[in-house]
Order: sequence, then C-alpha cells, then structure tokens
Amino acid sequence: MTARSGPLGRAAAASIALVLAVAAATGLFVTKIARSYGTPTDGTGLTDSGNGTGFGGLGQLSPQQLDQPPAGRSNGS
Amino acid sequence: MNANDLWFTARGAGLSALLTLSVATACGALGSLASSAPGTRVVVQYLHRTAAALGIGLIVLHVSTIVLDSKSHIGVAGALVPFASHYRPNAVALGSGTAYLLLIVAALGLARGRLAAAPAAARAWRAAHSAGYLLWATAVLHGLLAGTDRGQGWVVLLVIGCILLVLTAGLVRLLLLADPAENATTPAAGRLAAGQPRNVLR
Repeated sequence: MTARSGPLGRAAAASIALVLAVAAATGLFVTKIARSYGTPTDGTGLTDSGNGTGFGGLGQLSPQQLDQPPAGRSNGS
Repeated sequence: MNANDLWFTARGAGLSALLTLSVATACGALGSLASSAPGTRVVVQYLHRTAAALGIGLIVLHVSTIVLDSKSHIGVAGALVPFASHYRPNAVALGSGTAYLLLIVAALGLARGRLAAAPAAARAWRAAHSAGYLLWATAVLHGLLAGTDRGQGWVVLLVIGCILLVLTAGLVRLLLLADPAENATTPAAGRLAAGQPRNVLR
C-alpha cells in the first residue's frame, strides 16, 4: 500500500502510462502511414490517389524502389 | 495481412522510436536535478529507464520488420552491417551504428551500480552515459537522411517536437547546473565529498 501511494507507485503508474502511450502512438503512426499511401492498384507500387505530399504516390515505394529507375528504363533515359 | 504492412510497421516503429528516445533523453537530462523533489526524481528516473527500454525495443521492431520486408531489399547485412546497404548506405550506417552504441549506453546504464561505485568511476560512467545525447542527435539525423516519410507535415512536426523537447530539457539542465545553489545541494556531490563509495550517482 505504501509503495502504491509513494514515489515508487507513482513511478510505476507513470511508466505504465508511458508504455500505453507509446503503443498507441506507434499504432497511430503506422495507421497514418498506411492510410496516406493507400493501396497499390496496378502493381507498380504507385497509388491512384497519391500520398498528399505532392509526389504522386512516391511514398508508396520502398527505399530501394525510390533509388531505382522505373522498370524498363535506365538511369540515363 | 497486407503486403505492405511490414514496410508500414518499420516506418511507424522508426518514428515511434525517435519519439520514445527523445522522451528518454529529456527525462535523463532532468532526472538527476537536485532542485526537484526526491519523489519527482524517482518518477522521472523510472520514466527515463522505461522510455529507453521501449526505444530499444522499437529499434528492434524497426530493424526486424525492415529485414523481413522483402520489398525493402535491405536485408540482414544491409541492416546490421554499416555501409553494407545498397539504399543510402551512409544514412543507414548512421542508424545501425547509433543502434549499436545505444545498446552499449543502455548496458552501461544497467550496470551503473557496479561501474560507478567510486567517485572517479562515477565521473567516467557519467561521461560515457552522456554519449546518449550525441546518439539521440545521430538518430534524428538518420531519420532525416533515410526516412521516406520526412516530407509529410505531421512527421516534420513530430521531429520538430522531439528536437524542442530534448533541447528544452538540456537547456533547463544546463541552466540549473550552472546555478551554484543547485550544485551545493546536489546529493551526489555531497556523497562524493564525504567519500561514500556506493551509489554516488543520483
């Protein structure tokens, strides 16, 4: 009872609150990222609605894809 | 499960790790100030440790989902071996190097009671543990250089918020530690002066 109402109890409660907040934040971030990029529609990795950043769905691409030229094109084309 | 879920999770976990490690860094800066009440110090120290543990867990989730995601093409070697990634090797190496050093800093934190038993060792421990500030900065840099969401408004706001949080906590710590009254009432300083060997760090 003493620990529950003392500094250790408050520390435990604050730590649990932090864990829950971080879990909620992580879920929110993942959801926002997924929703902002939509679902690929044609197998190119590009969305039909873009990602709202002005790059027309480039955010849907993986890092590797972002640094690669589109299929069928060379870096110089 | 959506084909992109691993990729989304990797990015969300990376952002969440940055947020959590920012909380850990800020709490670390404020947790040992003598001017705060002892009860408050206990709470802040617990939050520092919990946030640091969560941050490392989120880094593990960030790295493991990137490795498991076949579309990222980064792979185990690219994620774990600095400069082995084909994608932005310097930026990814900054992240992997930061993660390794964070593990060392965290291990030092866990071993604080043993390593900092003497005043000289305590000073060395504090200097080594202070590397966490630098590692937080390199984690921010990794996110800015390698993150694919850095162009999104809410991500920009998140990063700015993290930077402001840590800068404010660091500034408060510097200002209070520069106050002679703060130093005079520092319990650790008193224990050091008294030559007490155990738990010389607050």
